[in-house]
Amino acid sequence: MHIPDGLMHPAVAAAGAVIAIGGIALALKRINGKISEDKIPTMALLSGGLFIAQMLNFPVGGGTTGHLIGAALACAIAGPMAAMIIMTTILVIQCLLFGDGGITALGLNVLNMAVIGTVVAWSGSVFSQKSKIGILIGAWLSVFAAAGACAAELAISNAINPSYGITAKISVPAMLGYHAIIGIGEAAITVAVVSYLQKVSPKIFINGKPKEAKA
Amino acid sequence: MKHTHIDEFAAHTRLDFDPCIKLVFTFLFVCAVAISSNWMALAAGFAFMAAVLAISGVPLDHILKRYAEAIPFIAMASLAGFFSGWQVATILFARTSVAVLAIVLLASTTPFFEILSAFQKMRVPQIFVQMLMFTYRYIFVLSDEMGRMAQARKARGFSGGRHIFDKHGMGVISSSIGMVFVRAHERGERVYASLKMRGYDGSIKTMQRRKTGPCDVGFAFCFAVISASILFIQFWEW
Repeated sequence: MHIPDGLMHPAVAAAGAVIAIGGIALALKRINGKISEDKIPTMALLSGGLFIAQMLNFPVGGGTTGHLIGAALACAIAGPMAAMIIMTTILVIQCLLFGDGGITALGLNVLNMAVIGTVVAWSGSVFSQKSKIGILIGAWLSVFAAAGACAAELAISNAINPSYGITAKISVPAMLGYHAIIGIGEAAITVAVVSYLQKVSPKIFINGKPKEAKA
Repeated sequence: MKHTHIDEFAAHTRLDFDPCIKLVFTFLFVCAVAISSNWMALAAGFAFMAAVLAISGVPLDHILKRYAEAIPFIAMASLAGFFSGWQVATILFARTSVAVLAIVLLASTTPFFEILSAFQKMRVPQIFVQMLMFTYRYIFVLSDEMGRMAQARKARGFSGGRHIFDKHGMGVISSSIGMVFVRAHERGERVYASLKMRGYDGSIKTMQRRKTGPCDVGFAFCFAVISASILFIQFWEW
């Protein structure tokens, strides 16, 4: 879902960058003071771990594979504000180290995956009483919402100027359809990793471990 | 294990310029390309990129591999563009390709620590600079761990799972990911303690003392001229 440069209309890219910077600024403001200096390496480890986890493909079926986005996992482990910063870090590294995702589209990529993905994942776990189900729903929704945002950006770009983006008739069903399935994998893996970590290494949860699901 | 796939060519590139200038002017160039939808402007941009890539000494297959990673989106967009005519589709394809080449060039010719020191000069919030530095460091260590685990999984006959509802396959993948975090966490605490003992205070210190020289200005000038010409061709009333 990494948007390359030149695909989106410049106005869409600029608007996305402004919203993304706003979201990150808010996250930085909320996190300053709440998370002590010595937690930064731990947060960086989460982003490093997610970076590596994104490289591990899971089978979707029919020979195709998908991979984790990780917003929901970061959110479950470190809380929404830290998760935004963790996801942004990953996206910046992918852009500047691998050329994966554009530099003018970085704002949009951060908006979709780091801001929208995280906020949606977090709200999923807030609305549900049982935290495991909340994480499950949140993870699926976060992928779906990020894909939806991406499809909308493509459609808006295309509506402004037909030589940008993808028309809504194609972008919306293609992105949402594919990511509805990818989301199932994301949700299953996120919940499995969270329960695994609760069992094996509960001290990894920066914001305290999420409530145990009543089995 | 070797990590030849992560910034392989950045350390000995011929495009060894001030990272601040590289970041800013690549950004300007990409902006100019992103605005442009004129054939000639994009052709000029592509010719320039091809020349710089040829000078940079980065092997062609490396560039193509990185470019191929952006292909799914470009291909989807170009195919969709055919509904509005082949000109629209080819312009979209050309524009995105030139922009992707520019960012691949930046990524594969700039060592990451140089980018970090540029970020520090540009007053990027300290927490981000630190996060980026630590994450970059850990990626190598963690990808080693992941490689060893992949080998262990393979040795025990795991071939990647069958489909998305394959409970066993997904379970193996999940615990692999979980294990990466567990190992990472323990290692991270040790690393931080030893950094603190060696006087780490959160700032990036590189051995290189850079001064902006005539070469840097020349590099900036080339990028500025080509960006300006792209915009000129785009907006000139023909």
